[in-house]
Amino acid sequence: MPPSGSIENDTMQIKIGILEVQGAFQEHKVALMKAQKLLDIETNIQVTEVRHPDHVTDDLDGLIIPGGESTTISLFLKRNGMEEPLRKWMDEDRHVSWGTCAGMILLSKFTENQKQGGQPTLGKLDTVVSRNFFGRQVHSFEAPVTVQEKCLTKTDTDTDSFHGVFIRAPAVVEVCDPSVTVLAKLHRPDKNDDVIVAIQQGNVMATAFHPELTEDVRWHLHFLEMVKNAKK
Amino acid sequence: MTEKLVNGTFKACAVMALERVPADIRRDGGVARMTDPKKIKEIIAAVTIPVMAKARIGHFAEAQILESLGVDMVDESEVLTPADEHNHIDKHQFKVPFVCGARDLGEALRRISEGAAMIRTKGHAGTGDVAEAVRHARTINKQIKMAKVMDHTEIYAYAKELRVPVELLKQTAELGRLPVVNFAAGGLATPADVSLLMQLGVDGVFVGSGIFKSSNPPARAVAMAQAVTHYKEPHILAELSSDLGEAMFGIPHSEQKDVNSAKIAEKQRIWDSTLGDPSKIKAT
Repeated sequence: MPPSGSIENDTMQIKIGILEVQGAFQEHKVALMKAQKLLDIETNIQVTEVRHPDHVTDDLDGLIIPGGESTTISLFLKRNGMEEPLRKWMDEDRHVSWGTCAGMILLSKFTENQKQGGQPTLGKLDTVVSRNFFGRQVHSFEAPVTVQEKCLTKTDTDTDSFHGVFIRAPAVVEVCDPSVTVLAKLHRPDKNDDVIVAIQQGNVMATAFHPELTEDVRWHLHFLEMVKNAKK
Repeated sequence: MTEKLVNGTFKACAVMALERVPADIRRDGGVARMTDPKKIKEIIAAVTIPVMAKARIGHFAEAQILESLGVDMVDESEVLTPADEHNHIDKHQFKVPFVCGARDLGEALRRISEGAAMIRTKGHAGTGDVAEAVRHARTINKQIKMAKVMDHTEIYAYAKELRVPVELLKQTAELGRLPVVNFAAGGLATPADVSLLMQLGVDGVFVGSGIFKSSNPPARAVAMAQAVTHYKEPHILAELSSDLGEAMFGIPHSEQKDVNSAKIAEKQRIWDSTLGDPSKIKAT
């Protein structure tokens, strides 16, 4: 029996890995720490770097795949023998993953706009994504996205609009399974259409934009909620 | 050379579209300019990763052309011959982001205030000697550390000394690093060089001649790209550094100075013995 009065009992231990190949790892880490404070329970979050197959351990509760260039990251995963360990890790229901930008491409089963043979992916989401959907670097932009899902945990600043940063961003062009939930869409006034830019299927989430580059941590909070619920 | 770079699968995060690597530019001499747009378009069509291209310092027309081609970043580069000896490009006028070289904090912050979205050390491109890149990375680090411990009055004076906007210097001191991404460039030739610079705090590296002037460019390119991720792991770096063939031959920095000063002395001698002051010939 643990000594009485230990606060350890009430504090949930959470271990999050960040795939540190390319992208804004530091920003993700900072955002996670900010989001932690908004959780309704006491947590102790440990953030670790994932750069090697040995770093993909069963005790990781969550994994963030930042973008990044999907070509670059997928080559890295292949070359370092990380694809299989990651796929296996993701097969466990209690493991939660989140891909931003290039991470969305890696997590999707199908990719459009692929050059020469395509790239290997982790393939967890029943979606078709299009690489560089909005164009090259000069077509990168910031715009409000509309959050569809009411179950995104509320933060103080919440409205259903979120400031999306899109950098050579992908987009979901087709959802192939009813278990995929659309979390956010981007309205394009010039084309008068709504593009799917955030989705969730089970314990996998993907966003085409970069929430880690904004001050609003509601996506990080949602991710931590997913981790929290998966651990229960 | 560029063809090899673009067709290979090296895990680089971007490619630089160039006709000649800096080592060849250095060897050939003459005026070095923007690459043929046809070649840049071919490279853009061939790869999925971002494509960068170089414009001459101050040559905003070259930058405009590169932007219209759809390159993802323009390198306003000292590797090409400067087009304007007093002014850099006003980078705020562009939508395409710019990377610029810097040797110290003053240069880095001046470029950022002109609109650069990224900084790289100038190093000594095309030489295979990493000493200058190390000097520049360390200089920037040291100056940021100095700024960090200064009070308001001192930082104002330091901004004047560095010839940079005081607000930008304050921001840098608060962050404890440059407010934009900072890469190392100029002379890196081995996975160990990559690790050295990464451990000095840069966010990534540029490598050109160091790969293409080695005996086995594809293998070295893969190893150096991998070294960026594994820079903290000597045992992985040991593997990555094994059996890569000959590294770029290289010209040690100390000898480059000799070559240069010998050239200048030779020019001076010719001048003095023709139109200059003949009395000085005896002295040399």
